[in-house]
Amino acid sequence: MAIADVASSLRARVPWEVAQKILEGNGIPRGMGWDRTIEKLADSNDVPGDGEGDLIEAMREHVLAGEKLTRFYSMSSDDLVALRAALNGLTISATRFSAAYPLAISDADIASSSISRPTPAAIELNDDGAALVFASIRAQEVREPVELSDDMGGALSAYEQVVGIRHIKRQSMDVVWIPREGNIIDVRIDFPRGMLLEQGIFAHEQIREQLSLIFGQDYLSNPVDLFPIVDQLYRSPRDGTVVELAFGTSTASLKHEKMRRSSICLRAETYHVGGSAALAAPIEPYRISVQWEREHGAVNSRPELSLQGQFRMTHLVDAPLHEAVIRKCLDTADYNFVRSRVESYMVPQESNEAAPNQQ
Amino acid sequence: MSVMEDIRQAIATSWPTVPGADLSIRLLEFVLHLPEPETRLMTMPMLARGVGLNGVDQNLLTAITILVSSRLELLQPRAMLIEDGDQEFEVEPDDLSVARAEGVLAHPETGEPILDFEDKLYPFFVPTERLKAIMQNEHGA
Repeated sequence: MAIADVASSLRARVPWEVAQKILEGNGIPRGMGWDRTIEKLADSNDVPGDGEGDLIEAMREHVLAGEKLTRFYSMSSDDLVALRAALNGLTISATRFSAAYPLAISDADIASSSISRPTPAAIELNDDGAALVFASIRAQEVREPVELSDDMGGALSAYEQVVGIRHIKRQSMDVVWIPREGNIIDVRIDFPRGMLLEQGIFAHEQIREQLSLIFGQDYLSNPVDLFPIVDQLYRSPRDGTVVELAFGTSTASLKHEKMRRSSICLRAETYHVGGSAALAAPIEPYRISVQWEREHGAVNSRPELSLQGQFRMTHLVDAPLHEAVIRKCLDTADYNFVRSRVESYMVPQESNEAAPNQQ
Repeated sequence: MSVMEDIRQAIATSWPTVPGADLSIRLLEFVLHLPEPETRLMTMPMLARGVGLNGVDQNLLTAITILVSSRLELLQPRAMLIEDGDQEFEVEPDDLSVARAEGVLAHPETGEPILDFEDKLYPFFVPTERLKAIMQNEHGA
């Protein structure tokens, strides 16, 4: 298989800003954008000898860890033992997905496929635990501006802009992760930019259904409520950089703040600090995005956790937030780090005091 | 001679008849007295308001150019890509240089070429290390 083909698989799922770091970290030449990079790879004598292998491994890592909508589940010891045993006894049927794994099936195959339910494509085992990887074909709605031309007729003449909607098919790779230690498992749905939250939630229900069919028991009926973590994370000043925050104030306003430059934390931003200090009552965060700076040899990454609650969750008892959006992970080490941060807030507050000083 | 006097003299010597030269001193003094957090993304409208202008005009552009010049190196230009829906992406200086040399800028998310990317960039400015050192002296004094 040519390295350019592997790069094409990466292109379908990895954001360019992440892909650049993967390529750079593996000493693989790149151009300005995917088209020029793939041209370079096809022609270049500068590709390291193990470049193709490195990119396939990067693809595997991204399947497990890249651009995910995640739910967490607290399991009983008995259920965990049963789940681990069931996974050990599972055989993956030969399908086009399993044959191509960790790469995607061809673009032509995807285009000619129907939308499909998740089916097991691979099992990944390592020292930390086991992943059951599901593959499916999903449609994603894309909205694009349409160029107005004279031959479109008078009906559109009243509009300055017309937006077209089309559905593109993607191969999605979802993961059920069962750690070797601890009692929290997580389910990771592929969540590319532009995918609607409702689609992601539906995909979670599909995985729940498939897992029930495979293992004969519904293990995924009770995801952890992540909403309390929004406030805890905001009030942990040494834990990452807050790049987006939405909150209510005691003065009856709703605020939505975003940092426009990386590496600057909203918690300490002048306007935010001044405004918060002017209030007698603490603000009520309901949405937060946090990034952490991580080193990978010659390149750095900035994996990001978003907990996208809604204001009503600050008031209602039964309005949980089940989904975490985890983006910009270069590899499973990045994802596991973000996971560990989320998990640390799931335990009683007393054991949260040693948040890592990693900005 | 103080650093500011050095700079004034350099501007008077290098740009003696340029209309924006006096404005560049006022602009520098405005930036110098900003708290550091407020120098992280200095847009042209912000700088215009800071020196009492109604908007960005040619004199302001000249003043900024003087402060960016290699003779003074007090401000450095950066670029932000802005998309429909007001989504913004900072474009690293190296990437922008390559984009201008090759005539194409890749979208940070999709990696696809952005048509007419210059129309979608807006400039902002940050202090150079030299200006940061001067500011630290001024604020610490």
